[in-house]
Amino acid sequence: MKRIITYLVVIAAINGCADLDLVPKDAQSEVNYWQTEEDARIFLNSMYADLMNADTYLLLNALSDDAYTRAQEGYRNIANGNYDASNGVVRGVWSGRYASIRRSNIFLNNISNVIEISEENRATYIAEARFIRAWHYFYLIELFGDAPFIVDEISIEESLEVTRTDEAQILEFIYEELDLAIADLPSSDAGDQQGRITSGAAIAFKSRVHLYNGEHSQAAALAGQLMDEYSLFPDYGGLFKMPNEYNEEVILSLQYVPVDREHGIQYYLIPPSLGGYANFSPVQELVDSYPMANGMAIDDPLSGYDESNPYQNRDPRLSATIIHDEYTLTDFNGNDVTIDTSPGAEPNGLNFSSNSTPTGYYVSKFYDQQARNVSNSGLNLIAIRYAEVLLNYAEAKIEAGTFTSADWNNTIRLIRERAGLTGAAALNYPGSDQAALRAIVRNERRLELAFEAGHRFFDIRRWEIADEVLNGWAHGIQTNVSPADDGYERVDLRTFDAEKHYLWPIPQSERDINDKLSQNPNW
Amino acid sequence: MMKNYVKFLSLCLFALMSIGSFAQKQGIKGTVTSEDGPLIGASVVEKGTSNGTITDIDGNFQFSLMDENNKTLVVSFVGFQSKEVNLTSGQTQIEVSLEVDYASLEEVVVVGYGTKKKVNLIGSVSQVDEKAFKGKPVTNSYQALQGEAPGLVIQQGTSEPGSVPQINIRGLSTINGNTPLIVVDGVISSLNNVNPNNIESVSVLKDAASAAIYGSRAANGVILVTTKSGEPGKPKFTYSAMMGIQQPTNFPKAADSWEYATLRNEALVNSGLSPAFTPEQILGFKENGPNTFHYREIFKDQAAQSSHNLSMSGSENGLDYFLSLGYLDQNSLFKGPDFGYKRYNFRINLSKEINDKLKVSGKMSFARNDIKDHAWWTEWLIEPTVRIPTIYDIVDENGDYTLVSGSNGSSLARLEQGGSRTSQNDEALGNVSLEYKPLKGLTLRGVLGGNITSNQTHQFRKAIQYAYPGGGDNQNSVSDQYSRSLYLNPYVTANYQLELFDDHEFEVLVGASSESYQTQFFGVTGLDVPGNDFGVIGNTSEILQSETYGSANDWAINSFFGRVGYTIADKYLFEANLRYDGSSRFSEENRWGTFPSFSLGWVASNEPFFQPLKSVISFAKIRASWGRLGNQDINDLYGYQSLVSASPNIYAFGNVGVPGSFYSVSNASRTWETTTMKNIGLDLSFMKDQLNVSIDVFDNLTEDILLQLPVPDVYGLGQPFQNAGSVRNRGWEVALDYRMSSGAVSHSFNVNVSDNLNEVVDLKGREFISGGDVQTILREGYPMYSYFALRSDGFFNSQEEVEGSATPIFATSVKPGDIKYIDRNGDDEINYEDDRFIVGNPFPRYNFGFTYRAEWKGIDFSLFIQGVGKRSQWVRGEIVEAFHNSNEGPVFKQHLDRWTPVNTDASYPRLTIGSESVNNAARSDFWIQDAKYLRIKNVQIGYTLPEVWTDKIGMSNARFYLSGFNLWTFSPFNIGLDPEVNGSFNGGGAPYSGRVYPVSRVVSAGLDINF
Repeated sequence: MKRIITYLVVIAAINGCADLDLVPKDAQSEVNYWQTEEDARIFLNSMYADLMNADTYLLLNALSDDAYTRAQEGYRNIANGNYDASNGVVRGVWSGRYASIRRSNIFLNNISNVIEISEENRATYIAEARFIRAWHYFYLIELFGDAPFIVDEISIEESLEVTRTDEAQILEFIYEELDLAIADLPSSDAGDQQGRITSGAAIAFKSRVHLYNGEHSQAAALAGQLMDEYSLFPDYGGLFKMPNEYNEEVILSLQYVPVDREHGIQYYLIPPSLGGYANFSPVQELVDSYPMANGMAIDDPLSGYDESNPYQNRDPRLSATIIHDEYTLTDFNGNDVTIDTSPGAEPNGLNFSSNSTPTGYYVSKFYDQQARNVSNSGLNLIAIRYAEVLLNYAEAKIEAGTFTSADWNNTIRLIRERAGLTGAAALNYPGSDQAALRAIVRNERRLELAFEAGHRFFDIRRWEIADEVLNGWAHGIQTNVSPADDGYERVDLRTFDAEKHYLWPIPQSERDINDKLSQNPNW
Repeated sequence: MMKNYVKFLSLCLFALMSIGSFAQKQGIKGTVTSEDGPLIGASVVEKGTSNGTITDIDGNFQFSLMDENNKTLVVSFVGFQSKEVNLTSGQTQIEVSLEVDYASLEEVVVVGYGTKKKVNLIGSVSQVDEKAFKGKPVTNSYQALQGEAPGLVIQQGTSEPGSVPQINIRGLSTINGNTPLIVVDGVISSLNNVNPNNIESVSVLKDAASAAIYGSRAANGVILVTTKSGEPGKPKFTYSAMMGIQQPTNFPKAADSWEYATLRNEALVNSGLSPAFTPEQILGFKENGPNTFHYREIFKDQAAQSSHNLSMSGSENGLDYFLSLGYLDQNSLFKGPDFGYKRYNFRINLSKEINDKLKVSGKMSFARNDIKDHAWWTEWLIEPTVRIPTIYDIVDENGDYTLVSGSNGSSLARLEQGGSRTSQNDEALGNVSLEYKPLKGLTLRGVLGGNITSNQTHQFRKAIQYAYPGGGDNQNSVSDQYSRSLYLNPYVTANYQLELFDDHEFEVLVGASSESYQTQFFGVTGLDVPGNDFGVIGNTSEILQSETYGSANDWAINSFFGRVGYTIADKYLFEANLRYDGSSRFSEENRWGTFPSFSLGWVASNEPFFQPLKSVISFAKIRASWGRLGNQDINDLYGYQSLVSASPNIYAFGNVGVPGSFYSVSNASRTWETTTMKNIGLDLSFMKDQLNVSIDVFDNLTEDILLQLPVPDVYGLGQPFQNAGSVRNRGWEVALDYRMSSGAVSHSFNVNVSDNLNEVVDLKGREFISGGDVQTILREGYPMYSYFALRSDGFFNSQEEVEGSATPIFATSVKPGDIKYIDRNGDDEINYEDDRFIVGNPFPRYNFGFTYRAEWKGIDFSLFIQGVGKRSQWVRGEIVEAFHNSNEGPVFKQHLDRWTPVNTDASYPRLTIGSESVNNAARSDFWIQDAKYLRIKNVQIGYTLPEVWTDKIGMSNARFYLSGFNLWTFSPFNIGLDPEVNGSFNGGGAPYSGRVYPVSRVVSAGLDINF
């Protein structure tokens, strides 16, 4: 018996101690990473996912005079001026971009350690990473002005004392990085690499950055480099549909795939009868900015606009973008249905329920009829396309005072023809008056790029017209319930303070733990 | 079910009414005395009956015997040993002398790796006996412990089947793993699946002296659970059954349809918008309703709950055995097809003394949890139902589910037609131990304990076709999930006890222990089962990659420990502990921690000089302890190493998903968090131990606390655990029990009250603010995660007042009726940066429990009250805000008292929608509510049949009872949530909006039979 016990004690003592050097089963130590090309490639994949998420892509547009979001409180409060440094969207953009910048920095710091990779691929990967990091800094300086400038893997201690760097210095960095990227990027993303960043994307993006910063000749020159490289897709509405995802106009798009990687933005866009929730609603001000199909603005007495039949003979881009009353579309089951958005109509009418539109409009642009359900779509979202390059070119030249009728024919006319506008007022060169041309290109940009990637939001800020277009009521359809505002439904009272709203505040959460971080003026 | 229940109730009533209906015959009289003279109020009862009386002021009694053949009287009095006296034939006069019962002093308390006489205990230990588990219709053992021990805080704001309460001892010394260490029969475990009926006793170890032997695991205190074992004698069978009805106790009070419509119009007009309802519509609502509150509509009015337990125990020839079967069935209050929770428990405890020196024992228990639940998330089923205004029906006149007000699905449809999620969770828990006593006083023990869990969940979420357009539930899905875990806890101890001189007792314990835990899990989800029936994964058309996963993880701890105890003449007590622990959660350099403790006790009442006082103070002991404990229980198991993990479908190229990889956040230098605990305690007994009082005061300092401190977003990697700083937790506990008799009734009272509050002592000069809708701050000198908000100052009553006051920079429209905020820095504007105050904290204070028990001739009564004396809850979202976030609803009755120009003395600001609401929706103390409460937790009335009856049918004991659980709650927290809701006081200030299954009241009838 004693022997048995002795044995047991010995066995217990030997087996009793557990191994304390445990490693996870589903991740590897950083120390062992950065060996193979695959290590680098899949790390880079996760950086692509950072470019912009679908919600931001859409909802940034609700911060402009194009749309209204009812239930995205953070966005709504920015749009109507009821926000401060603790706004969740402001913080979300800030933290998202800096998390992405860290990933970029990790990648660029470690890619040189990878041994099993061709120098050509290494150079391409580095170029893609530089593009992505520059992309993030562009958004940061656009929104916040001076910003912490971090190009290394900083420690927590360093992050608690970081200060803001002059916007101009970061802008210089963006240009340098994009130049390096352009040199090493391939010009095509054919085959199974569709969706990768190309030199064309980098050139187009750099053109955009220059344009935003008033450097018109550079913006025009870069846009000009791409003028023969891409072409407009013939059908404006079809440009945004599944079958045409990789058409000749697309320069860079955010990649989604049915089931495997989906977004749910159409839940916000389509009518309740299709399962939608109307959380992103076009406003009357945008609808009114679409001209007639003959190119004349609706307030032009000669345009033929009929307020009692407002959607007839309009620029075809209106119905390719916006679902209005009596609109017919094909539902998920393949049936053609007509949408009644008139006040109180069940279920799609204005304010019929919390699902239905508060403005009388829904969105048709990203409607994916093939989606497996209302909140899961695999439709790519276009971040940069050729029409923007043409508009960049036109605007840059107009601002530089060098815009010619040939430029007109190569840019705005092409865009309008593709859109389906006809007649002299729409297609002919309107003359060289800069103010008139400026008004034309700005409105054209608004219509052509509506609801895409926040273009209008950035445009009204860089044009410094936000304090004009974002003060006062945003409206819905004409209901004549109240005599005010010609009977157009009031939706949201907006306030834009030019003294402070052109820059977002540095997030409160960030300044709460780092008192070295300054705040923007008047916040 | 209902029929049985009624039958059962009638049987109980019949039994209660039939007392005392028997004729009386032979008379007997006498006197009851003690060494101090006659005893007043002693009970004298004819054995086996409830027939008897109580002694008068001179100790005399007189009554008639019911049964001439019965020759035995039972004489008893609180604090004295009961005595049975046999009467000789024809005897009519008797003198009985009772002796003081010192049994309470001989009571043994379970402590770490052993037991101890209660008198010799130096640590702060609360013992809870099996009474706490009797007759309470609890669905797990934690619930039965609530309010039973001072300093043990248990909170559960929902009665959702299968849910488990939050539990902690002496508040928050740490943020991580606040749950105390739970040791069942010597093996580290959990209480989730322990059958409450199997528990013999529970010891709550609260200070360093008592807990230090568990060193690394004990910083949150320790709960030692001992399950039942056999008692000497022939096999004893016990059967107990309980059947009850659960009813939901708390719902918000929704405004009627017409009230809603009126307030909706008011809010729209206040916000510059057009009214939505015409006077005719409002009149229509007033006449015809429908007044449908969707939240209420998804719950039943009542649901059944029952339990059955059967056990056999005994001890013969050195073999001690206990076998038990248990069954619990809790139906869900959710409408839908038989949702609910079933638990099957099986236990076998065996021990055999092989000879004088060797004892082998084994304990094994198995529990199966069968949970059938809806196939959705409770929170997201409830959220829309709270928001939907009461003007909409939930089903229309054709019986079709409606889709209204922001919903693309109906929660009721999802419950009734949306399929189900069934879980089978198994836990096997066991230990084998060998006890060997080679020499007198030396005991060697080796124990191998552990548990295995195996959890399987199958979910079939069925597609729902709505009669209304826009339904979003048109796709069905199937998920299967599985996880298993193995936990092993072998340990060896050697214990040596020696009596040095006559009355010097010396004890040494040394031991080693290890713990290792591994878990594996995987899951798969598939879409589109054709036909919407036969929902198994094999029938799905497509596997959803993003919800297909599987992995494993593990942790381990090695420990060495020792204890020295020295007791002189049962007067001077000394104990010291040392523990040395290594944890896999830390890097090799930071892995090991040393945790010592010391304690001293003095039993003053055993001193000669104390003897004159003893007639008043029968016992007095002073205890003091100091010790250091460690904590490593953070959920980030490997976070001292920087890791790279890959996931599929992070992005795509050419319409094919591609994987991506990510860095984890890490901190190589993280190490043990340590808590230094100081405790002073006083145990006093009065009036021959009729009244016992125990007082403890403690001061715990946690240093190097492991926190996920907020880090700047520009860091870019999230928040690693850091050894952040120090937190102090101070508090006190008082427990008091009193036993007495009045007439034939014996009473016992038990009161316990405790309080503690933590304070951040050191954060290296920094402060950290976190949270979104609810913001909290870590600031030196204040409790952890104190609420940090604007301070409200009533409502604006005029435009002049608005113009003359500071208003928020983030609100473009502030009008009379809006909340006014205090401009802290006087800069004439309100902004979060300058104007936030610390406005309270979420910690429950003054936790109390009160138990009263009475017995009279076989009838027993108990009343248990429990509550929290001070607590605030910051609640946000639709549960408190009218038209939350520009939704159509909700409006509750409390919103009727909103500010209007004619009702300026309102409790709610003016009603608004959209951007007009920004001022009032600001993060302010307006939304912080008083959530103290007092709850009649349990009332029981029972009747034990007289033994003469039970003997006849071969039973030794039979008790029937009625029990009410969660009967009434009194609280100023009246928004329709239970005041215990939101245990998130250990979190980083997540916004809290209710969205829970309500707390149930359970009324039940039960039966306990021994034979």
